[in-house]
Amino acid sequence: MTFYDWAVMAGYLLVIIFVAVAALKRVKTGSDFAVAGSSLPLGIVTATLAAAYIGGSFAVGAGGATYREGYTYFFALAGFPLATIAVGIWVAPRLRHYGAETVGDVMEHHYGLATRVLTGIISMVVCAAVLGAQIRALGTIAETFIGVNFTGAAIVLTMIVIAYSTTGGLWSDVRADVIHFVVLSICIPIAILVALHSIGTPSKIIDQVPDDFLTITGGDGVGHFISLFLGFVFGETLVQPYAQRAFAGGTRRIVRQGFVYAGLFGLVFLFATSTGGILARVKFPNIDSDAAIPEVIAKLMPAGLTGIAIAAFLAVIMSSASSFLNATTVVVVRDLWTAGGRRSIEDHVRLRLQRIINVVIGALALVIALSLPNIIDILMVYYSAWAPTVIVPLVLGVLVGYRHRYAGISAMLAGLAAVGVWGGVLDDPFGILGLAVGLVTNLVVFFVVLAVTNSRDMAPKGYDIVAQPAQEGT
Amino acid sequence: MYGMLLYGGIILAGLAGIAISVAALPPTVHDLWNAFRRSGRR
Repeated sequence: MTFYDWAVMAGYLLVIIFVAVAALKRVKTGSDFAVAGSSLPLGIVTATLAAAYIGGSFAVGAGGATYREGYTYFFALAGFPLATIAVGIWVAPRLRHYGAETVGDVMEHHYGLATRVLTGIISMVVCAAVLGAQIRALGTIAETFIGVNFTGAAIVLTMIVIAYSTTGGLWSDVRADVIHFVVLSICIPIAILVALHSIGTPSKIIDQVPDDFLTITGGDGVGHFISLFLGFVFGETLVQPYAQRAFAGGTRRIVRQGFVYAGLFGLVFLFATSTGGILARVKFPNIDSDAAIPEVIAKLMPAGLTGIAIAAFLAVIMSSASSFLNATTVVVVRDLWTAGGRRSIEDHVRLRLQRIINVVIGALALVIALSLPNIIDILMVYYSAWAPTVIVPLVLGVLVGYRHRYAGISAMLAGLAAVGVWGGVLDDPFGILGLAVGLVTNLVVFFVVLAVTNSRDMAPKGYDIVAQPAQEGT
Repeated sequence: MYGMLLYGGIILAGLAGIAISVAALPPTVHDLWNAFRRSGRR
């Protein structure tokens, strides 16, 4: 690490702190905090969505898995950007049509208050789990790349995340995301390119990896691959931070294009980080797979480029951490504290509440991530509850327009029970993921309840998001 | 062929990043600058 490397990292963190200060006076409403005023232009929607979903697993995790198993992990993980493109074409623009701030808002509109509360609780657990994991990743990146103390680095970097997400909520979160995106999207491909050039010719590199490293299904067979792929397609599709960016786009067209472009970028970016894992396999064949990308950066970068590369990996993690922190806060305030606005509070009080809760959640996540990491592991188990509970009723409600006060909650509870028994108690028998069993159970129960109940007068009472009029550019 | 795939894929990622950055940065800088100017007036 040269002086220049330190200066690059310090400069990058100062720009992020600048965003926090700018947001302090700019953000005046709870809506700015939750959905950034729902007026984001295309470039910002694309960059913030890509920065939010490109986290540790997309950068360091993908490289490590490719180091172990080859490009099959790239093809499996590609399920998520492909799902983002599909959501962008069919679902996200319709989500923009609601005057919503949370997925719970949309769920209550279609299926009633109980589904809002359940969606809120699951969203909170999923987002808190991802936040905790990202906080630990911040410490790991700083410790591995720079050699500083894990705990100290995690505290300082998380406090910067808490600072800008508290002053401006989603407004500052998406602007900081753009800065993060610029750094990560340009610097990481450059770092991988430099590493590729320094190792040798591509044909020599490919000759040195096992044959099944270059196949779609790898060495574990088709069933294993399909299981992994489906897990990535449905695992965190439309979780609160991503849905929030659909609510926050300026128009339906902007949301559609933003999701599609972010998905396309994710595909090529994932290829770059996966290739980093292959390069590590060739150059450092006897290291721990988790160290694959850090080794490539630390050993193959010329002096002067290391600081840029480390800043890029910090950007990857910080952007995801702030997105999931903001999402947790918005869900807690909107879905759980005010129950969709039933507990009436003035907007300036709501903004103050959002900021206080943001600090409390951020601080709690930091303390737990550092002192009780097992709790993060336990929360990550519940992470798999998202797809089997929310995805089917949400997508059917948004696309088909179903409104039914029993079908949604029955399907959610059945999906939750199925994934709990199949994945938790039986430990995924026959190699079939609990997520898949939960999804199918959810779908079947949804339509069974629809079939056995009177289809008329089943819309939930007491809450109705009036669809906003079609906007210019839709 | 491998060279085209490896170099091509990574360069494409960098170019896509630059294209999105070029679209995203101007409105972001504009918003941040406005926020600062507004706060300065107060």
